[in-house]
Amino acid sequence: MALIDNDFIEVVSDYYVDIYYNNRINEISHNAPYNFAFLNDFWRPEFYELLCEYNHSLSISYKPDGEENVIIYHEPYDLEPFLRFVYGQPFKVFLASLVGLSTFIRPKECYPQLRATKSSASGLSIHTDENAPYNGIAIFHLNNCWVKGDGGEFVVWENISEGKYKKCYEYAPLGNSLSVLLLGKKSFHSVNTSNGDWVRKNILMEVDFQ
Amino acid sequence: MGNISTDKIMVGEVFELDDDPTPLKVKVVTVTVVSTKPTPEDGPMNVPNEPEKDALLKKLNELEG
Repeated sequence: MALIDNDFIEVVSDYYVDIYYNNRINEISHNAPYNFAFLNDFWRPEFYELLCEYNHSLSISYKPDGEENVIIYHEPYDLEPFLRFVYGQPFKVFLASLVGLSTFIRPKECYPQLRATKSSASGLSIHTDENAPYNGIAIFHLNNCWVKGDGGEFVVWENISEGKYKKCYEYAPLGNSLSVLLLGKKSFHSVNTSNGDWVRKNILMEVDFQ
Repeated sequence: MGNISTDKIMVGEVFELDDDPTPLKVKVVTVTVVSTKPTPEDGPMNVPNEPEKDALLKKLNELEG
Protein backbone atom coordinates (compact mmCIF):
# COMPACT_ATOMS: atom_id res chain seq x y z
CA MET A 1 0.00 0.00 0.00
CA ALA A 2 1.47 3.33 -1.04
CA LEU A 3 2.30 5.71 1.79
CA ILE A 4 1.85 9.18 0.31
CA ASP A 5 1.56 12.51 2.10
CA ASN A 6 1.40 16.11 0.93
CA ASP A 7 5.18 16.48 1.02
CA PHE A 8 5.55 13.55 -1.34
CA ILE A 9 3.09 15.08 -3.79
CA GLU A 10 4.77 18.48 -3.55
CA VAL A 11 8.31 17.35 -4.37
CA VAL A 12 8.01 14.17 -6.48
CA SER A 13 6.91 14.45 -10.10
CA ASP A 14 3.32 13.60 -10.98
CA TYR A 15 4.41 10.59 -13.01
CA TYR A 16 5.98 8.79 -10.07
CA VAL A 17 3.26 9.84 -7.63
CA ASP A 18 0.76 8.26 -10.00
CA ILE A 19 2.84 5.10 -10.45
CA TYR A 20 3.22 4.72 -6.70
CA TYR A 21 -0.36 5.57 -5.81
CA ASN A 22 -1.67 3.01 -8.30
CA ASN A 23 0.67 0.24 -7.14
CA ARG A 24 2.54 0.10 -10.45
CA ILE A 25 6.07 0.19 -9.01
CA ASN A 26 6.87 -2.99 -10.94
CA GLU A 27 6.71 -0.91 -14.13
CA ILE A 28 9.71 1.18 -13.12
CA SER A 29 11.81 -1.28 -11.12
CA HIS A 30 13.95 -4.27 -12.09
CA ASN A 31 14.56 -7.54 -10.31
CA ALA A 32 17.10 -8.94 -12.78
CA PRO A 33 20.03 -9.27 -12.79
CA TYR A 34 19.37 -7.84 -9.31
CA ASN A 35 16.99 -5.40 -7.67
CA PHE A 36 17.51 -1.87 -8.92
CA ALA A 37 15.73 1.06 -10.54
CA PHE A 38 16.71 4.06 -12.60
CA LEU A 39 14.17 6.89 -12.75
CA ASN A 40 14.40 9.96 -14.96
CA ASP A 41 12.77 13.31 -14.12
CA PHE A 42 12.18 12.22 -10.57
CA TRP A 43 11.67 15.48 -8.67
CA ARG A 44 9.33 18.31 -9.48
CA PRO A 45 11.41 20.97 -11.29
CA GLU A 46 11.21 23.50 -8.45
CA PHE A 47 12.55 21.06 -5.89
CA TYR A 48 15.25 19.80 -8.23
CA GLU A 49 16.42 23.38 -8.82
CA LEU A 50 16.67 23.81 -5.07
CA LEU A 51 18.88 20.72 -4.81
CA CYS A 52 21.17 22.07 -7.52
CA GLU A 53 21.68 25.45 -5.87
CA TYR A 54 23.95 23.80 -3.32
CA ASN A 55 27.56 24.80 -4.00
CA HIS A 56 30.24 22.20 -3.57
CA SER A 57 33.85 22.70 -2.63
CA LEU A 58 35.75 19.80 -4.22
CA SER A 59 38.04 20.14 -1.22
CA ILE A 60 38.09 16.56 0.12
CA SER A 61 38.65 13.45 -1.94
CA TYR A 62 39.67 9.80 -1.84
CA LYS A 63 40.86 7.15 -4.26
CA PRO A 64 38.59 4.08 -4.35
CA ASP A 65 40.33 0.75 -3.74
CA GLY A 66 41.78 -0.68 -6.95
CA GLU A 67 40.99 2.46 -8.95
CA GLU A 68 44.38 4.12 -9.20
CA ASN A 69 43.29 6.78 -11.69
CA VAL A 70 40.05 7.80 -10.00
CA ILE A 71 39.49 10.60 -7.51
CA ILE A 72 36.10 10.98 -5.83
CA TYR A 73 35.32 14.27 -4.11
CA HIS A 74 32.84 14.09 -1.27
CA GLU A 75 31.27 16.32 1.34
CA PRO A 76 28.22 16.23 3.56
CA TYR A 77 25.02 17.39 1.87
CA ASP A 78 22.89 19.13 4.47
CA LEU A 79 20.10 20.89 2.59
CA GLU A 80 17.35 20.70 5.17
CA PRO A 81 14.29 20.29 2.90
CA PHE A 82 16.07 17.36 1.27
CA LEU A 83 17.00 15.79 4.61
CA ARG A 84 13.49 16.15 5.97
CA PHE A 85 11.98 14.52 2.93
CA VAL A 86 14.32 11.62 2.21
CA TYR A 87 14.39 10.45 5.82
CA GLY A 88 10.61 10.72 6.21
CA GLN A 89 8.52 7.57 6.23
CA PRO A 90 6.79 8.08 2.84
CA PHE A 91 10.05 8.32 0.93
CA LYS A 92 11.63 5.49 2.91
CA VAL A 93 8.76 3.20 1.93
CA PHE A 94 8.80 4.41 -1.67
CA LEU A 95 12.55 3.96 -2.11
CA ALA A 96 12.49 0.48 -0.59
CA SER A 97 9.59 -0.52 -2.81
CA LEU A 98 11.83 0.12 -5.82
CA VAL A 99 14.03 -2.79 -4.73
CA GLY A 100 11.22 -5.01 -3.52
CA LEU A 101 11.51 -4.25 0.20
CA SER A 102 9.50 -2.40 2.85
CA THR A 103 11.55 0.50 4.17
CA PHE A 104 15.10 1.53 5.03
CA ILE A 105 17.01 2.77 8.00
CA ARG A 106 20.00 5.09 7.95
CA PRO A 107 23.15 3.34 9.16
CA LYS A 108 24.35 5.23 12.22
CA GLU A 109 27.41 6.86 10.64
CA CYS A 110 25.95 7.43 7.17
CA TYR A 111 24.76 10.78 5.88
CA PRO A 112 23.97 12.19 2.44
CA GLN A 113 27.06 13.18 0.51
CA LEU A 114 27.63 15.36 -2.49
CA ARG A 115 29.91 13.31 -4.73
CA ALA A 116 31.84 14.66 -7.69
CA THR A 117 34.42 13.46 -10.18
CA LYS A 118 36.40 15.42 -12.71
CA SER A 119 36.65 13.86 -16.15
CA SER A 120 40.42 13.41 -15.88
CA ALA A 121 40.03 11.04 -12.92
CA SER A 122 36.64 9.43 -13.39
CA GLY A 123 34.89 6.11 -13.95
CA LEU A 124 34.51 3.00 -11.83
CA SER A 125 35.23 -0.56 -12.90
CA ILE A 126 32.71 -3.37 -12.48
CA HIS A 127 32.10 -4.00 -8.79
CA THR A 128 29.32 -5.04 -6.40
CA ASP A 129 29.81 -3.09 -3.13
CA GLU A 130 28.54 -6.25 -1.46
CA ASN A 131 30.88 -5.80 1.51
CA ALA A 132 29.83 -2.22 2.23
CA PRO A 133 28.49 -1.52 5.75
CA TYR A 134 25.04 -0.90 4.21
CA ASN A 135 22.96 -2.85 1.71
CA GLY A 136 21.66 -0.15 -0.59
CA ILE A 137 22.42 3.13 -2.26
CA ALA A 138 20.37 5.88 -3.84
CA ILE A 139 22.07 8.30 -6.18
CA PHE A 140 20.44 11.56 -7.24
CA HIS A 141 22.18 12.80 -10.35
CA LEU A 142 22.75 16.55 -10.78
CA ASN A 143 24.26 16.79 -14.27
CA ASN A 144 22.02 19.31 -15.97
CA CYS A 145 24.12 19.83 -19.08
CA TRP A 146 24.90 16.19 -19.86
CA VAL A 147 24.81 15.30 -23.56
CA LYS A 148 25.58 12.08 -25.41
CA GLY A 149 29.33 11.67 -25.65
CA ASP A 150 30.04 13.13 -22.21
CA GLY A 151 30.38 9.65 -20.70
CA GLY A 152 29.82 8.96 -17.02
CA GLU A 153 26.95 6.55 -17.69
CA PHE A 154 25.81 4.18 -14.96
CA VAL A 155 26.00 0.55 -16.11
CA VAL A 156 24.31 -2.59 -14.81
CA TRP A 157 26.04 -5.92 -15.43
CA GLU A 158 25.15 -9.57 -15.04
CA ASN A 159 27.89 -12.00 -14.07
CA ILE A 160 27.03 -14.89 -16.39
CA SER A 161 30.03 -17.09 -15.54
CA GLU A 162 33.53 -16.85 -14.15
CA GLY A 163 35.10 -13.70 -15.58
CA LYS A 164 32.23 -13.01 -17.99
CA TYR A 165 29.91 -10.06 -17.58
CA LYS A 166 26.95 -9.13 -19.75
CA LYS A 167 26.18 -5.43 -20.05
CA CYS A 168 22.45 -5.32 -19.32
CA TYR A 169 21.62 -1.62 -19.01
CA GLU A 170 23.42 1.68 -19.49
CA TYR A 171 21.91 4.92 -18.18
CA ALA A 172 22.90 8.51 -18.86
CA PRO A 173 23.57 10.38 -15.59
CA LEU A 174 21.06 13.04 -16.56
CA GLY A 175 20.13 15.79 -14.17
CA ASN A 176 17.11 14.90 -12.03
CA SER A 177 17.55 11.15 -12.44
CA LEU A 178 17.69 8.68 -9.58
CA SER A 179 19.39 5.31 -9.40
CA VAL A 180 18.65 2.86 -6.59
CA LEU A 181 20.47 -0.43 -5.97
CA LEU A 182 20.07 -3.28 -3.55
CA LEU A 183 23.63 -4.42 -2.94
CA GLY A 184 24.67 -8.06 -2.78
CA LYS A 185 26.74 -10.71 -4.49
CA LYS A 186 25.01 -10.07 -7.84
CA SER A 187 24.92 -6.26 -7.85
CA PHE A 188 27.60 -5.74 -10.48
CA HIS A 189 27.70 -2.16 -11.70
CA SER A 190 30.18 0.34 -13.10
CA VAL A 191 30.49 3.96 -14.18
CA ASN A 192 31.90 4.91 -17.56
CA THR A 193 34.74 7.38 -17.69
CA SER A 194 33.72 10.98 -18.39
CA ASN A 195 34.85 12.82 -21.50
CA GLY A 196 35.59 16.52 -21.87
CA ASP A 197 35.81 19.17 -19.19
CA TRP A 198 32.91 18.75 -16.81
CA VAL A 199 32.23 17.64 -13.26
CA ARG A 200 29.95 14.63 -12.69
CA LYS A 201 27.88 15.34 -9.59
CA ASN A 202 25.36 13.47 -7.52
CA ILE A 203 23.95 13.14 -4.04
CA LEU A 204 24.69 9.73 -2.55
CA MET A 205 22.61 8.13 0.18
CA GLU A 206 23.74 4.91 1.85
CA VAL A 207 20.88 2.95 3.39
CA ASP A 208 19.98 -0.35 4.97
CA PHE A 209 16.93 -1.68 3.16
CA GLN A 210 14.65 -3.88 5.23
CA MET B 1 38.79 -5.64 -10.20
CA GLY B 2 41.00 -2.65 -10.98
CA ASN B 3 40.85 -0.14 -13.74
CA ILE B 4 39.47 -2.04 -16.69
CA SER B 5 37.72 -0.07 -19.39
CA THR B 6 34.34 -1.47 -20.35
CA ASP B 7 32.97 1.73 -21.83
CA LYS B 8 32.96 0.45 -25.41
CA ILE B 9 30.99 -2.69 -24.64
CA MET B 10 27.46 -2.43 -26.04
CA VAL B 11 24.33 -3.29 -24.08
CA GLY B 12 23.71 -7.01 -24.54
CA GLU B 13 27.35 -7.79 -25.21
CA VAL B 14 29.55 -9.85 -22.93
CA PHE B 15 32.78 -8.58 -21.44
CA GLU B 16 35.35 -11.25 -20.66
CA LEU B 17 37.70 -10.20 -17.92
CA ASP B 18 40.49 -12.57 -18.92
CA ASP B 19 40.47 -11.61 -22.57
CA ASP B 20 40.74 -7.87 -22.27
CA PRO B 21 42.49 -6.71 -19.12
CA THR B 22 43.14 -3.32 -20.70
CA PRO B 23 44.03 -0.64 -18.17
CA LEU B 24 42.25 2.66 -18.47
CA LYS B 25 44.41 4.79 -20.68
CA VAL B 26 45.18 8.20 -19.24
CA LYS B 27 46.36 10.72 -21.77
CA VAL B 28 47.20 14.32 -20.97
CA VAL B 29 46.05 16.75 -23.63
CA THR B 30 45.63 20.50 -23.76
CA VAL B 31 42.31 21.67 -25.14
CA THR B 32 40.23 24.83 -25.15
CA VAL B 33 36.63 24.13 -24.25
CA VAL B 34 33.72 26.53 -24.53
CA SER B 35 31.00 25.21 -22.28
CA THR B 36 28.28 26.32 -19.91
CA LYS B 37 28.87 23.29 -17.74
CA PRO B 38 30.41 23.72 -14.31
CA THR B 39 34.12 23.07 -14.42
CA PRO B 40 36.69 22.69 -11.69
CA GLU B 41 37.87 26.24 -12.34
CA ASP B 42 34.53 27.86 -11.61
CA GLY B 43 34.45 30.02 -8.52
CA PRO B 44 32.11 28.33 -6.06
CA MET B 45 33.87 24.99 -6.31
CA ASN B 46 37.14 26.39 -5.07
CA VAL B 47 35.61 27.80 -1.91
CA PRO B 48 35.59 25.28 0.92
CA ASN B 49 31.98 24.77 1.80
CA GLU B 50 31.86 21.61 3.81
CA PRO B 51 29.35 21.59 6.62
CA GLU B 52 30.49 19.78 9.68
CA LYS B 53 29.85 16.08 9.42
CA ASP B 54 29.07 15.82 13.13
CA ALA B 55 26.56 18.64 12.88
CA LEU B 56 24.82 16.86 10.03
CA LEU B 57 24.71 13.56 11.91
CA LYS B 58 23.25 15.37 14.91
CA LYS B 59 20.62 16.99 12.72
CA LEU B 60 19.74 13.64 11.17
CA ASN B 61 19.39 12.05 14.59
CA GLU B 62 17.02 14.83 15.59
CA LEU B 63 14.98 14.51 12.41
CA GLU B 64 14.63 10.78 12.88
CA GLY B 65 14.14 11.16 16.63
